[in-house]
Order: sequence, then structure tokens, then C-alpha cells
Amino acid sequence: MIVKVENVSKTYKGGVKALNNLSFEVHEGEIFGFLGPNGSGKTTAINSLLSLLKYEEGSIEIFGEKMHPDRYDIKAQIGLVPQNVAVFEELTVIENIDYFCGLYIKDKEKRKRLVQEAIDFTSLNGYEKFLPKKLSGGLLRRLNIACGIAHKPKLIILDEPTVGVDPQSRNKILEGVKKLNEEGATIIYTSHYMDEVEQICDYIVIMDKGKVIIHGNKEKLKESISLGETIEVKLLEEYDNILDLVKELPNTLETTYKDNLLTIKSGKGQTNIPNLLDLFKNEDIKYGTIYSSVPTLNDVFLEITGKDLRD
Amino acid sequence: MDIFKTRIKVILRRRDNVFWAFIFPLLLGLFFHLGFGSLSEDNFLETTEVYIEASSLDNALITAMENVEIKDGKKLFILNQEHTKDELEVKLIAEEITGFVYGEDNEVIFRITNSGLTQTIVKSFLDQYMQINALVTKVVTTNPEVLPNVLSDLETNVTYFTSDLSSADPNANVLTLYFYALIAMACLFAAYWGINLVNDVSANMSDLGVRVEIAPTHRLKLIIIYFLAALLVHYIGNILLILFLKYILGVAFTDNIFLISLISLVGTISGIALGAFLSALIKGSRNFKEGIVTSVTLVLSALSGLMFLDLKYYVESALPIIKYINPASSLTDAFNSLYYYNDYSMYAANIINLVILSVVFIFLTYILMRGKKYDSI
Repeated sequence: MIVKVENVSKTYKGGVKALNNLSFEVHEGEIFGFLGPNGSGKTTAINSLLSLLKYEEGSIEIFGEKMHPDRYDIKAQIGLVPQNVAVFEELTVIENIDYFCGLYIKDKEKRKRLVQEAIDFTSLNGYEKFLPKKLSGGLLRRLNIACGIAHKPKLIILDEPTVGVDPQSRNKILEGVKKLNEEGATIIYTSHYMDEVEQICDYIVIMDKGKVIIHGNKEKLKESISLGETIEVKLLEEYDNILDLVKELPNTLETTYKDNLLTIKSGKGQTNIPNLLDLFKNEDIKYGTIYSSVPTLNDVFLEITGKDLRD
Repeated sequence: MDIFKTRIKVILRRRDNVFWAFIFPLLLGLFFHLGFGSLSEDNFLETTEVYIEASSLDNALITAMENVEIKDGKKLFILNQEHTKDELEVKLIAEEITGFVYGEDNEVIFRITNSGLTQTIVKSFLDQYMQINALVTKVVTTNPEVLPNVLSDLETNVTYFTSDLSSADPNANVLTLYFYALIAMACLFAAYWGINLVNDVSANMSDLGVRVEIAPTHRLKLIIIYFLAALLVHYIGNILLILFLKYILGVAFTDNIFLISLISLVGTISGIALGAFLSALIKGSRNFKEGIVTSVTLVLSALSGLMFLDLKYYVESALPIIKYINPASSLTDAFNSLYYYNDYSMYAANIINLVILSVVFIFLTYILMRGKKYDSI
């Protein structure tokens, strides 16, 4: 067990309950995903985990030991990539990585090698002498990551590392996270982007209002809800009675029709596409494109909380 | 050592702080020089009442003091000769007067309890008088035949209190006090490094602080390293400022550079400590804190006489505690004391006061920062 959080509660001044009996476990070698909308308590959970924040109740263990601000032996094995880019504006890329690595690694030669490995890992080669203000948003995020992982920690915590980056940089970051995991690090990854978490995480905790609302691997999470399929059809003409027609399809849970876009949500079982095509043919309904998708983590969140993850 | 070196790089590359800490005092010194350069001291002077024990003083000195003019018949001194030395001593202790002049063992003694503008004027006059007196006495005893020429030269060339700063007069004059206040302000601008120090190691104040606090390096160790780096850089900057003022602009500082350097060192420490305390006390962004610190240091400097020399004495007369809690005041008093006192007791007292203030600021900072976990980040 790498991390064990038991019944942690945290209330901010003003009475906002940020964590409400939060419990979870992170196992060695996992990519552990923390998914939840903004304000759900993900960052508070991370800061409590790192012994930066006071909490009223509960206990936190890391590497089997009780976490405390003075546990430098535990801290030495943790790397953090904070939500906001935390680098010295006055230092170059290589100076920043070397500085933060230096807080963990005193041996100069070893540090030099680790800094170079971090630069190679985050593909910052060629930018070593750049000041942060000269870097694009994506490169800056990669620098933020390099500063957090250069010392080769056993546990890496990435708090929303892809916020505000372009898709290309985002993919590079996600590939990097997978690679770090393959190299042996246990990862805690927080995000409000469900597709990221779905793409890379082995085990997922979905949070809302400081509580774990559901947890498990992505297959288990998706199986836990009644939704089996979402079909979206772009109709070429306006049909006033279309909702009445599709409601009769087997296993239909919910239907909507707006701006000629027809959405049909069906329960688990066989796909409704053949039935839908038959209906269109029989009723002479003209359609353009048809998409069918399996449930996403957003659907899981939506079904459990009644609201969208992006709300 | 690597952390120390990197911290020095960070300090030197924070351009806004470098401007306020190093460039602004240089520019202000230059503007003072340019502004004062075209002024003679009589622009600043008003007629001053001076208490003397007439019976113990040479008549020639009394006559000189009675006759010296600021300009156009306006007298520099009005002499009050009604009291004995003992009576004057009682008045001085009771703070009814700021000083008095008396003679003892063929020496003229100017007894004061505090430095100030009036005291500076009287001291400058007496110094100049004694120098001329010594010169004339020497000529009379060694080479009396040249006496008429010497007296003629003195009549032509000696004018009390008309030397401007560009003349690099080895005797301090009243305008020098402005430059002392300037150095005091420069010392206090070390407060910027105090703000940065606290901000950069506190998770509830900056993202950099988060990285620092989750690292296995002890926070106190980093604070000490950051403090020493700031002290080194700012102290060197202050020494360069003093050298610039003394040797480039020709400001008439004392020749005892060691003592000036010591004030600067203690002043820089108190500046960093003040900044650290304010940073720990005030909630807000680094820019907000820097704005507060800029205001605070300028107000403290103003109260020590930077903008209007007499303000220091008005404020300290009305509220004496200010003298002890304003580091800028202790700094200027320490500088002034190098000119006024020969036994350096006032100098030492002000240095000790600065050390005490620094310790208090550091202690308060510790109290504010001692928690290892935060309520919120």
C-alpha cells in the first residue's frame, strides 16, 4: 500500500466542508485517478495528503507510515506537480529543474544526470537556457512536471497537469505519465477531464462535494450505471412527432430532440441502431449522420449526481 | 552552497526589486546632489537661539557668533547668555533646551542630548571657528610676519555655511543629513528581500512555497540560506551606494568607512527582518506586499528626515517612542552620531537599538510562521 486515507474531514473557515469522511487507498504501481468537477475537493485532498493542510478528523499514511510535516524521509520519495506552474521566473529551464532537484538530491554529479534525464523525458531539449516567460503554455507545463519528477520519486502526484494546454502538449503529458508509471512510479492523477482519466488511470475515484461518490476501475464504474448506449442522429428535416416514435424503441431510457439533433439513451443490452434504422425507413425519415457511443465517466457522474462533470 | 548561489541569481534577476533596492537610491542620491548642488546652505537656514555660558567662553568667539549672518543682515544666532553652566545642564536634562555651549580647559564644548538640524548648524560653526582660531594662533607663534596676509585671505575666502556639497568639504554640513537619511532608506529597502524570502518558502503564500514545503530540505535551513544571500547582495549594494555618494558625488561623510559599513550591515539586517515580518503579517500577493513595504519604508524614511529634515525632530519630540521603533530613525541617528560624538556611545546605542528591532522582527516573523500545517492554501 502506497497511500491510505481514512475518514479525513476538512472544513475551511466559513464552514465550507471541503472533505467529508474521505477514504481511499492507492496501491503500488497504480495510476490512481481523482476525478471530479472544480471545487470537488481534489486539491484539498492532495494538500492534506502532503501534510500541508490541517484536517479535523481522519488519518493519512504514506508508504505505511503516518504522514507528518517533519517526515522528510517520506517527503524524499514524493514528487508533486502542482496545479499552478510553480517555477522561478528568474531562473532558466535547466536552473529551475536543478534547483528543485537540489532540494532532494545533494550529490552534484547525480543531480546533473537526473536533470538531463528530466529534460529528455519532458522533451525540453533545446529550451534549457530559456526563461519561463519565453515558453509556451505547453512547454511551461512540461517544465512544471520536470521540476516535480527530476529526483525520481516513488510516488508522483500530478494535480490537473494539463489545464490550459494545447491537445498536442496534452497528449505528450499523458504519454509521459504512462511512461513514468511504466518506469515504476505510482501515480496519483487529479483532473476534471474525464477522457484523460479514462485514458490513463487504472483505478478511479470520482469525488463531489468532498466525498467519494464512486470508485473502481473504469469498466466497473461504467457497469454501475443503467446507461448502455447513447445514439445521436442528425436529421435532415424537422419532424414534430419524432420523440413519440423513438420512445417506442426497446430499452430506451431517455430521448431528446433539439435543432434537428436526436439523442436516444438506451439501457444495457443490444444496440438500438438496427431498430432505429428500421424506424427511419418505415417512417421515411431523412437523416444525415448517426453516432453511437458507450457510456463515459461523465455519464457515470451525471447519473449519480444529476449534474455534468464540467458544470 | 548551490542553493545559496541560485538564490543570489534569483535576487539579482528580480528586476523590479533590484530597481527599488539599488537603482532608486542611486538615482535619488544623484537628484539630491543635482538639487542641492545649486543651493547653498543659507537657503535652509533660519535664525537660531543658542544658549551659552558666556563667562567660560572667549569674547572673540561670542562676538563671532553674534555677528555671523545668514544673508542680508539676517543673523544666524541669537545668543542667550543668562544662565550658568549648571543651570543650562538642568535645562538640558529637563529637555527645555536641545544644547548649550561652554568653555573648559581652553576648549569649546557643545553639549547636546540629541542630534538635529540646529545642533548641526552650531557644531559646524564651532568647528570652523576653532580651525581658524588654531590656524591664526599657529601663525602668530611661528611666523607672525605673514599674519596680515593670512587675515586678509581669511576675510576674502571664509564664509560660514556657504559650502555646497559639490565642494566635497571634509566637514559634514547640514545637507549631509539628507544623504544619511537616503542610506537609511536604502538599508530599509532590503525589506523587499524579506518579503521574497517569506513568500518563497511558504505554501500558503506562493506556489513555489508549496514545492519547498513538500521537499525534504528543512525549511529553516532554506530561510537562513535565503536570508544570507539577501544580506550579502544588499550589503554590497549599500556599500556601492555609500562609495558612490562619497567619492563620485563628493558627499561629506565621515572618513570612518568601517563604522558606516557597520551601520549599513545592521541596517540591511533590520530591513530584511522588517520585510519578512510584514510579509508574514499581511495577506495578499507579492505585488500587494511590495506595495505596502514601499509605502512603509518611504514613510519611515520620511519620519527620519528624508524629505523634510525637521520632520524627524518634530515627530520625535511629539512622540519619542518613534525614535526607538523606527529603524530609519536609528539608522540616521547612528550616522549623525559619527559626526556629533567622539565617544561613539550614541552610535553604539543606535546600533544596539537596530539589533534589538531586528531580533523583535525576526521573533514576530517566527511566531507568525511557526505553524507547520495551514488552515488553507
